[in-house]
Amino acid sequence: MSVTITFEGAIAIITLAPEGGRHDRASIEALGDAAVYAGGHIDGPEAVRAILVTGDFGSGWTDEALGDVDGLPGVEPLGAGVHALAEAPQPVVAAIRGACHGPGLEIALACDIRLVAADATFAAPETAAGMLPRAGGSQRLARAVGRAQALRLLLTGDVVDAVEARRIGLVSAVHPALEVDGAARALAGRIAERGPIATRMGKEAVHRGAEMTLEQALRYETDLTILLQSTADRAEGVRAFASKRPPRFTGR
Amino acid sequence: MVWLTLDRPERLNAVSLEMRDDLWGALTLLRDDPTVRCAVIHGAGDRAFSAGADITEFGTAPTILDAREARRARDLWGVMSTLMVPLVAAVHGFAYGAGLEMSLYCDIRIAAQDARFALPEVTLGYIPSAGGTQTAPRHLQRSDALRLVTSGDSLTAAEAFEAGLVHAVVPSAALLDTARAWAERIASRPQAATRAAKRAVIEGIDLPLTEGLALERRLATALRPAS
Repeated sequence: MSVTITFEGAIAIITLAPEGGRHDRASIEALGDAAVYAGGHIDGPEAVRAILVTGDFGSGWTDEALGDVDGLPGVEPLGAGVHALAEAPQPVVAAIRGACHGPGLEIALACDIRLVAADATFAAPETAAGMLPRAGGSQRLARAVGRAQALRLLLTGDVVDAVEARRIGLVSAVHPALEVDGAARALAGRIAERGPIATRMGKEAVHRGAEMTLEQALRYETDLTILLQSTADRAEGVRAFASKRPPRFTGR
Repeated sequence: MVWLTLDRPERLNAVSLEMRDDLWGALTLLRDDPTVRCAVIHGAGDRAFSAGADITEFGTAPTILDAREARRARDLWGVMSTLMVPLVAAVHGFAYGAGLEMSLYCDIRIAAQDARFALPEVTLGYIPSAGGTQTAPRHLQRSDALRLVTSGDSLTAAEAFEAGLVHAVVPSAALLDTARAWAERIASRPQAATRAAKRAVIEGIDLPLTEGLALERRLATALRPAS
């Protein structure tokens, strides 16, 4: 199986294991299926409040996938599963070890928060093969690290190590290889303890608001804030704070 | 130069309704006073720049629609986000929630070594509402901004510097002098030029590049010495 999904409490853990570190149409479709499944469980006793993506992000595409033609009628784009991950409503934490190149980098960019092992490396090698990223890499990379570093990575194919990835803001923290899964699991755990509607709306506000003018984005944040004031969770959060006890969020 | 002091040290300078009104008054004065060249914002007391919104006042609006109307009618953060006076934040202790968000409307952020930054709203079931979900990703890289917004995790001063959130970290005893030096450097420059530069960056970054370049051209033309 190139993708497995397991559940620990309110965390869905998606583990990537592309054969030989190479992604193909099937492995990306499996990722998309897992993301849609986890993303769909926002309510009820099995609600998913945070998603953790771990395992082998991969070093490239298979030769067959590279030759695959996108844009045929009735055929999903090759990157559709990566876009499905980016559309998951819950916050998505990535725990990245080893090579995270090409489609691996694109999967990482579809996650919200990236924590990495000291041995992780990042690259967008597509242009060397006369190609472009096919799963949103040219768009999400610039939004993640800004224009200067996105163009450097896309035009040169430079392989950057974990420390450099932290310096340019591609990732949020570097951990020893044996500790990165634990750190990402703990971060996902903290997110899962927060108000679940709030974490989903916070994610939405950041990604959607970044595409607006600041003036429109501030109005949008205000409207989401007002919407949250109608929730039981927000009332519970304020009550719990006043009585100095941990809140019990229900997702309502 | 103007100093704005958040002055409720007994409540960690939490932003109460009264402080919102005072801030509104102070910021509209700054906006309308052509002699102001730079302002520094800091928190009174030893422990905080500002620990955020005063939660004891939550839920005092009759309905949520009234709350929405009140925010629209007196749009404090809208005034701060469009203020053309250069602003320097001198941050010590807690800069949480609305405290951090206030500093994100400033152009320069100087942190004392004891400064701590967080957007803890999600821990109480809501989201930042003084612009933080929008200003944080405009100052930080996306992964760092999402970590602040969705986890409520805090950053130390050193971590904030590494993430690019603050321009400098200094010993606590040197905070106000350092902020003063930055503000004096800005205030010593021609006022019309610093205001135009701030406007060009803040308004221009949200425009398509061709419109941003046109804005820069208009602002630069207005500044050209009369021949």
